[in-house]
Amino acid sequence: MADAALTQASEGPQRIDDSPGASATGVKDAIFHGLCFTAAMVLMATLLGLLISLAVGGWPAFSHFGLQFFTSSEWNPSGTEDHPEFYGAAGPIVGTLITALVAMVIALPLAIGIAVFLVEFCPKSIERWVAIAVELLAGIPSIVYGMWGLFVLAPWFEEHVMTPLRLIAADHPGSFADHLMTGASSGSNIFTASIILAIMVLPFIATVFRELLLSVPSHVREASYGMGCTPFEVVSSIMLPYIRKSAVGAAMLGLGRALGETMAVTFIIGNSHAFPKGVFDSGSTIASTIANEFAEATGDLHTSALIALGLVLFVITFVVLAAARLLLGQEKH
Amino acid sequence: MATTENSPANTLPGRTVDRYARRKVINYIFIALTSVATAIAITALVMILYSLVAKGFSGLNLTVFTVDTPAGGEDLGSGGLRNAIVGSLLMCAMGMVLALAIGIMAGTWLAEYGDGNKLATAVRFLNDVLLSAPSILIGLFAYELFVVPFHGGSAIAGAIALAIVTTPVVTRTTEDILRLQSNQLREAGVALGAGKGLVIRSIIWRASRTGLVTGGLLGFARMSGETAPLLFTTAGNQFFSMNVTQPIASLPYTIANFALSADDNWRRLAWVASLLIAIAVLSANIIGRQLARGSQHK
Amino acid sequence: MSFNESQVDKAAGQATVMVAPPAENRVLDVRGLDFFYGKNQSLYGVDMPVERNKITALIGPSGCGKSTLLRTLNRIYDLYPGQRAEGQILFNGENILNAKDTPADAGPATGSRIGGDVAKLRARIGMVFQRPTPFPMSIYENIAFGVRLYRKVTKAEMDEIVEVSLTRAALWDEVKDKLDKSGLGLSGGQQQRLCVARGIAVQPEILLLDEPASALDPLSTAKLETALMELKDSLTIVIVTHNLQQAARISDHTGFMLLGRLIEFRPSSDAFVRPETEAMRDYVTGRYG
Repeated sequence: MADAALTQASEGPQRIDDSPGASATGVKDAIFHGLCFTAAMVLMATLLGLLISLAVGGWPAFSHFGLQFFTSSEWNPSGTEDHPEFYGAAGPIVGTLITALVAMVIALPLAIGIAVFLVEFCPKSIERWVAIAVELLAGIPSIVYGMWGLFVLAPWFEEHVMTPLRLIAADHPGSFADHLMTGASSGSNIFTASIILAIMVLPFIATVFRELLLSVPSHVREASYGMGCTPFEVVSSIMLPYIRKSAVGAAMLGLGRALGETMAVTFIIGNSHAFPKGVFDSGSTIASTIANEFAEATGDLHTSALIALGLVLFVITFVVLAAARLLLGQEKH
Repeated sequence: MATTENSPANTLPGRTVDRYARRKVINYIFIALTSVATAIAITALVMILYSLVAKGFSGLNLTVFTVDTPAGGEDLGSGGLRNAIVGSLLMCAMGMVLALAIGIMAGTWLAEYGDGNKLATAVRFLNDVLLSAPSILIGLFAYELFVVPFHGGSAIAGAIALAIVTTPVVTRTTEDILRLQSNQLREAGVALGAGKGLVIRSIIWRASRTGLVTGGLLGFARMSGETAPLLFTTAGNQFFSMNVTQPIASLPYTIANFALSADDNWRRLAWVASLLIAIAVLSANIIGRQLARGSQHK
Repeated sequence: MSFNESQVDKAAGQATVMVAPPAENRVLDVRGLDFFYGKNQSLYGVDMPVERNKITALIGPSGCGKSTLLRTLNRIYDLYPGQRAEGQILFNGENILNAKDTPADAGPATGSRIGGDVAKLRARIGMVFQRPTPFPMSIYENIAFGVRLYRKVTKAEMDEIVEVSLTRAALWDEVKDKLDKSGLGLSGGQQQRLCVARGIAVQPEILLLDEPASALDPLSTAKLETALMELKDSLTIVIVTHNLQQAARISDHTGFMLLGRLIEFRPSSDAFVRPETEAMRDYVTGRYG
């Protein structure tokens, strides 16, 4: 029997039998290809379905309130004869934008600093540990940030920042402290929410920046040092401009995350629909509003308003993410 | 930096200026600033981990794993998280199965069948959008599709919502790792007469094993840390249940409810639950990255 | 004198200097083969015979098209859209360029182009690549993989096939005690012989080798060459090599290519000693490479 395996090559085409493999190849391949394709289409359909369901669900609210949905901050779920239900989303929208932007203002310089430190100044012995620390910070789930913000940061902030400022403002009306404290409520406010967001977004941006800095070709770095530049000059004049486009893209990715973050913010933002009157006032974001109110929404219009809010958030983050993609090119991170 | 009468510096226009001292100072300030930034980040990490560990462990006892979530107003130390733990495990397991199945297949399609194909570019882009989309919107979507028609939340709906959040992660890592395999390996399989599907399954997937596992772990890390998709899809359940067609308890949902209450016992359990989630997420993250690093050294 | 345009013109103008084996001895006959990468043509009207049970070597400077020509012989270029061949490659009388693919689609966007007749073609014309590519499996499985595509065999039969293939690839003695270990654990030279064993296990009529020893040390190269010379009794070998001494050592026929054209095709015993064209003479004597 084994000799059959040793026949000479000159026997010709009859040697190969029609066992499974060669002949069934086409069909099996087609099935596998089809399955892979289906999976990819399911993925695409999910995203499109998401968009459509948001649009469909939010439509009643848009059509009912028109432009006022975006300009008014009145939010009145309990309608009466004199004051019917009204949903104006300006409060959450503004809150989303403010918290995200303030978070970026805090986080960006810190992230750049961390990335530069890791690449240029960090002693090799501790570099690995610092990098791990940054990764850990990125890995903490958002609800843990929420817990920490609610139980640790907010009370601390209230006691050590707001109370002294309150006292100063009371004694010196019209001063800067007084202005800061206008509309201030508790430790759960827009500012502390922004701090939490900043800590959340910071490690992600730092990691991407670090990879970008490492991607600068070594001959560029060496040429700059060779001219006698100090590290500051090398980084600020040569390396950062070199990665400028991708860096902006990375920052926008961070912004996208900050815009959509829910649990970290919901616990600590104070949840008020009114336009925030001061930086320490409570407010709300789109995500926190949906999280708080959706489960017990009173009636269809309320639900629709919340879904409409979701659509607004989706559009904002989509625009930011699309711009980030364009700037980053096809880079993978 | 002394210059003599005849040195080149004297033939250039302008005066020689010794900027070096000033540049050094600026540089030192720069180093200080970046060190401070790093210190801030590390301090934040230490503070958060400290609170988590201190408050989580202090509230931890054996009954946490054996008893279900208590009603409000109970004594401090009573009650546990058993139903929430089981519910989370159930939903994560179901969600991972779904996410792995769709994610690996879609990633394979993008890597192996999608070159030069405009549809593939679109799918890749949409995958990235879904990857970074706010997870609360995914919760809304799952609500519309899987809760409303069935008149109520369920573990399945929660699992599906989690899967939608996780699949893009798996798709991305799968495509990346498959593209790393050399083309000659594919050609070697095809040159024997094997069909493309067989080459992918028996050779390319097998060669990418470590990377695929890493992708799964990272996906799991993402999934176990998510709360927002569960808020509207499972509605929570204070009792123990293994019925996946009914609402079910979960750790994140429990935290969301207990944390904002005034009940001390509930708040204690919220910290314990946070600790458990953080352990799951960070372990999966660390193991995943170790695997990824390990395979690079081969 | 270095390689310059006068040589290019000469090469383009002349017909191939050919000493061809008789038609009944040919297992492959390439006629008028043109090859295109997208819009760029890289093979121009190649005519080349391949004699059965002999080793045919293809030599020439980088970019001359020898690997391109080799890769048309088993249609491996099919994997890459945008690459196409025109002309005839007759394998036992049949033009393999006409062999059908079974479109492996039921509608999806880009279908796989592998399947059906072309797969069977590759069972009969095998290939070994430049860099060793063992599959991520045990040594035994590496060889069994191909066999299982075409045969139902018992364990005992498969054991026999594995042993025979490894023996003919001059690898059996070195691995017989570790057949279940991963193929990736072997040295480079051993891996390449494993790839040869894998290729011949499916009993092809022709084995194509694309610079198989370029990544190997001299000892492994010698072992590989010995194995190839013994294999030609049972199959036909076409080998692309940039190592002129290797071509002179082991091949029966040598084809010299330049810029996509076959310049000379002659018995190796003659070709290196008395090259007829100036182009080949300059290449063989090392004036350019």
